[in-house]
Amino acid sequence: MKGEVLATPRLDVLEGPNDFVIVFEVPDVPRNAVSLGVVAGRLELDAVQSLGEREAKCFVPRRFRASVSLPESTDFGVVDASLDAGLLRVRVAKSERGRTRQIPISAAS
Amino acid sequence: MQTLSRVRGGYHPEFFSILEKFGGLERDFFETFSFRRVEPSSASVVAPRFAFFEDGDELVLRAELPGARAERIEATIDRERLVIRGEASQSVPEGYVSRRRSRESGEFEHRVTLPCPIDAERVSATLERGVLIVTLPKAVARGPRRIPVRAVTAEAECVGEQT
Repeated sequence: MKGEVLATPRLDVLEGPNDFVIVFEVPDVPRNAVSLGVVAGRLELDAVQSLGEREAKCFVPRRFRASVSLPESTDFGVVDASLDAGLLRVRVAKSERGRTRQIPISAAS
Repeated sequence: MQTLSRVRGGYHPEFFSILEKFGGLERDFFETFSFRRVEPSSASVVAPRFAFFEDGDELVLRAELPGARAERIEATIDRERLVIRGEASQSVPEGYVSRRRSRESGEFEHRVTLPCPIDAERVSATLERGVLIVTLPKAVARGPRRIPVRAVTAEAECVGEQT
């Protein structure tokens, strides 16, 4: 079988004090078939499944595409990603401006 | 004249009376034809993508279970069916807040009625890149066995009776 089917991956977006973590579900996608990019403040994913020989006889692989918008406070200069067990975890650091700061409150005397 | 009734999932009542006549067939019918059957043991239940197919001498079950750990998946097989149970769980790490969520979280159970005898000893399962593959080799088909017919000569007795 030839071709591929476009699919939107299930994903979670988590916000921490210093970063955002985006988790994409991309089962059966090898590392070399993942493309991640930043376009106009959006995180863009394009990943293609690589089916085994037996499965390829019965199924068409899926192409996962997603575009996630993140707040302006995101520093797209600092992005790291890891792929494990069919999950792609992308960490995007917040810029200095977006970080959570604790403001000390002084006791009035 | 019987009219179509919406009771019991829209099946014609006649259908059930026929099943009842055969005694216990009703249960078998639904176990065979309901592809997914989940016991309400947990609040949330998920339905991962499953596919069951045949490849030559093997049957293959493929399930997309991104993020699953092998030790959290239970696969059992008996003469009639293969059952896969597991849990898809996502935890929000300490200090993080969920902003968007489309990944599913919960338990799943998937049953497949085996269409032919399986060599249960050689069934294997792997989990790679978030995909579970269970390979079920078909039991080696023993062709019809020839039973030799041995001719028994009882000439002596016959001769004896006739005379």
